[in-house]
Amino acid sequence: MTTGIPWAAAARRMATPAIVLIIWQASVGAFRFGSGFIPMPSEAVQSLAIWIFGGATGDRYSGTWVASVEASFGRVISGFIVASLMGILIGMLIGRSRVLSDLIDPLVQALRPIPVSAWVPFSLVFFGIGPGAAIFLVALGAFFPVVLNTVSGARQVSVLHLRSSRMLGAGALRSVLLVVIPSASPSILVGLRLAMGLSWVLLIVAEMVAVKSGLGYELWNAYYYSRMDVIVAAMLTIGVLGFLSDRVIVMISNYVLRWQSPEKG
Amino acid sequence: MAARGMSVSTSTNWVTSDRETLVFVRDLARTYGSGPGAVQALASVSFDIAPAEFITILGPSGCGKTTLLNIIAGFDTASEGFAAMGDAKIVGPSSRLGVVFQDSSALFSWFTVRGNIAFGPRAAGRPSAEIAARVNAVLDLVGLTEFADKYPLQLSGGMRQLVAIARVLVMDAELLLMDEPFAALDAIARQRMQERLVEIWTRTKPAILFITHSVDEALYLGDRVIVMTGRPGRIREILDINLARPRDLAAPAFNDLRAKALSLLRSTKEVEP
Repeated sequence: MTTGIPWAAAARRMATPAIVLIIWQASVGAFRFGSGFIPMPSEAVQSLAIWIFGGATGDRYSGTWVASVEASFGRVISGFIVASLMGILIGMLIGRSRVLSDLIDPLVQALRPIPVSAWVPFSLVFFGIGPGAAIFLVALGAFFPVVLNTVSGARQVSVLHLRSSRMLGAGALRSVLLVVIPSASPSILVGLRLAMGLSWVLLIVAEMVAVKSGLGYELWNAYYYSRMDVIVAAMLTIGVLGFLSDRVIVMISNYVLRWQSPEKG
Repeated sequence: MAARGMSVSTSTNWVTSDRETLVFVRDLARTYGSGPGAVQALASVSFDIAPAEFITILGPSGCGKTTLLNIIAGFDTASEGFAAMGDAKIVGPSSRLGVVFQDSSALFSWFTVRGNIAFGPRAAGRPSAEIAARVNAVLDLVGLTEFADKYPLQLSGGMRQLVAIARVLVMDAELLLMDEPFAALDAIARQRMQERLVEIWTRTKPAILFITHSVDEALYLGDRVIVMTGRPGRIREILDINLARPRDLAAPAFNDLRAKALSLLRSTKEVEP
């Protein structure tokens, strides 16, 4: 890797995004291509500000950003938590029991290749248009990375750890809680991180078709109102929220797995 | 708790000796597989372990030492014969039989030193005040008090094995089964750990069954040294080591025993089954 003073590295890292923005701003300003619907970055930022802070009477998006973010965020978290709990529970059963693995694993493997978007009609039949359908789709899609990584972590628990646990008098439940789950935790946390990324993707898809509120709904709706500036603002919002939720998972991982670090803990 | 993994047999006719015996090993054999591909790892091994006795098992790699330890620990089942603690045959792991594995990764790396040592008392459902007191006492005994809140991966190999010893000592295990616990250490650390182990044993006096392939280690540690030969593993001879501790590895008496042990290990004549 290159070395250098910190601000030079920071400047290098920002250079490419800055150039893209400048080219975008200048070319849209000069040519107004895309039948005039493509916004300049400055217009998108302005729209984002109005969307967040309001103040533009007559703009149907004015000041509605917080409500949309709250709705979407609540659905992502609900779906993610359902997927995590189910994924860890079922992953432990498959990973630690031969019989349950034979009973459950084929079903999981059969359902896994079906894209979650293909479940949209079923989710509408079961939950109707509304948040339930979005939470279901997020939970279903995010379940698979959690369950697969939990199974792999649970199967790799060292025989020395299991023997130690039995030798020290721990029963089956205590062994699972104090030995198997902690031992599988690095793998489980990889699954949770993938699940969180997938949750945002699925949420936006679900809100475009199955709910009448939230960031995905507003993004798709803005297309019908020819508000490409709002679409860019929504894309930006989703990107930032996705990034932040990933950072939170990474921070939780680093804390939970602090025992892995050979440094002073 | 103490009865966990033990079954009281109706017939206890192996308890014949007058002297106090903690563990009986009788005609133990272990064969893996069946038919022409069967491998006999262990054949007709018999010996006793007295309370507070320090026994070392000396033998070349592949002589069935670990198989023997796994059977006494309750991790493996004998094909013939049995191991018994008092009048109860050993049929599964028990906290009365504390195992220190060769690989220090057997520690729970996600728990601190304190958490590792408290694991057994917690599993036994002890009150937390009692657990804290016992853990502190054992930490002091093995000299790891200042490392109590470290994680295993932050410790040296020798310290990790001290934690492995501490987590079975805290259970008041009557027999410590140690499978080459210092094999991964460098020569200096290994010697210091041997000295520490003798100190700890002198103060707590559990019986110890210690497996090694190092002649010096076996002779330095053991009250008795069981010399084993390979394939199938069987007892070649049991040496009584009547040397005062701490032992001097350069003393003439030690040298004589070393020569004897080496010649027993080198002798190729193997008794046909």
